Amino acid sequence: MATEKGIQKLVYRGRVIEIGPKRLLIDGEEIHFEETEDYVYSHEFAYAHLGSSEELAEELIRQWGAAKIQRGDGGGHGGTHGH
Amino acid sequence: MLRCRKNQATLTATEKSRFVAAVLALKANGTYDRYVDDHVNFMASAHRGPAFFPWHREYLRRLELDLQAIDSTVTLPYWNWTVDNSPASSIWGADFMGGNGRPTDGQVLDGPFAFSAGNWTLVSDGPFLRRRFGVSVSTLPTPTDLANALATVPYDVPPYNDGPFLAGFRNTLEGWRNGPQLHNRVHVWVGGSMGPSSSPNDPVFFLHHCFIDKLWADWQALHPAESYVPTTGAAAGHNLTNPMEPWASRGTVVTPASVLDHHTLGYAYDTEAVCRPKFKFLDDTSKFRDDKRKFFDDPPKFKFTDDVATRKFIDDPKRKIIDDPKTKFLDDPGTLKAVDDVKGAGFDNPLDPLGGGVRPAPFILSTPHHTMAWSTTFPGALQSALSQLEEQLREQHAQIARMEDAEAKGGLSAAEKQQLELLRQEFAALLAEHDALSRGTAPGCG
Repeated sequence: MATEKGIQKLVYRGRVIEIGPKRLLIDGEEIHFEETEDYVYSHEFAYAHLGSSEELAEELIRQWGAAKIQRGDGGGHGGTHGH
Repeated sequence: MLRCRKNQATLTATEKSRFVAAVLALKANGTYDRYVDDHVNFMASAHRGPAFFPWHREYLRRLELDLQAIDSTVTLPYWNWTVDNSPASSIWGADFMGGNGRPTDGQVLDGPFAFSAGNWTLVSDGPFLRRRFGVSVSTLPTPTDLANALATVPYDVPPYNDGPFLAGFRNTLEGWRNGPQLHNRVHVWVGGSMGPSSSPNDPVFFLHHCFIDKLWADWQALHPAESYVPTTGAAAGHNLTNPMEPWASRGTVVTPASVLDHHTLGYAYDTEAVCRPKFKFLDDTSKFRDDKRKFFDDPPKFKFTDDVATRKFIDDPKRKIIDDPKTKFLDDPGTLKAVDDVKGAGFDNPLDPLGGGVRPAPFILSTPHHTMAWSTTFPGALQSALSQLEEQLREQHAQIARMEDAEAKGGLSAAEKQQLELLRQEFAALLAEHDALSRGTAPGCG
């Protein structure tokens, strides 16, 4: 796992995950989430609490597979995560 | 009139195709994607708080009304995922929701909502519908999970949020408690497009939430003393009389209080008494009045096949209205129908009027003119015929009385009124025959 200025970088199933303080990127695209004492929550994976932003990233990557997903105009996601 | 929402597993092929067609039409005219947007943009209004049930109830109601504006026969079906809990369940057939997505990218390749079919392009989180059955959680909720949730009271508990250890029915069924469970678990199990806040992109969302809505109704029926809570103390939009968004901003006040009773919103579920087909002989004292849903439950041609058990047409087990449109006594003008149709050998066989084997007997031309020829010669046969006639007369009289009672209350359709008139004619003819036999004369005798 590469560490740079507080950003942890790792690769999971061919995708690059970057984890920082209150920040998560997958293949350079930001994933919004909220974090409490008990869990991490994101509208990207809207029906479960995760233990950490890394766990969130891994769940999203498992769900996406090889898909190149287009955001469109749907609110709440922000940006594209096509890969 | 209440519309009945059905278990998707009981839908006919026609019902499925009509539902799918209505959904596709709603997608084509842009309405469907507005529902997706509302769900994305108002997640906080709809989830992780007490308004989870009422918000989705209103949301589904509006979509159902939009579907019915396209096809008035359509209602939202529900998916009981504790029963239909595998990728092989009929809900995932190519004639309905389509199946799982392919392993590489989760793209759904079959069914009417496959991207390749050309009618279902996702505007957000797209462009194609994705599913990933069992990837993030391997199983759907079980009947035991559901039973435990339905037994949970009260409706909600402070601080009325999504705490992983928070009790209460809402948080338990929504699935944050020791999650993902129940509602949440289904979203996660289906995966793909059902995972993010744009989950209505997958039409199975509405079948899933229809079941969630039904479960709320079931819980309310199980716990009539429990009320929606809280009145205050929850986030805005989640208290009992708070207007819910987005409808409040669009000029319509919809509160949790205003949607507590789903019957007032115009629908019920097929497990409720109001939607269940009635058992004609057990539930109904009036044969023809009760069964407004006869044509829903039974094709009309079977109406009198049902009547076998009441001995209405003891000698005519065929489908009377289809097979024999004429009244019994018009069919058979030359004979005494009630006597001729008794299956006992003695009456069917003029050469053996008492039955029991070969016995010489005079040839009898069985017409009303010759009724007395054999009735005098064989008095036992006459008494038996009279008894049978009297039994039929009693049955018909009771039936006519019930129908006339229903008619007085305005409960008969035009077709049923015609049936009543036919019954009256048959009764009159039967009575005349009884009188003739009793007096020793027959119609037509001089």
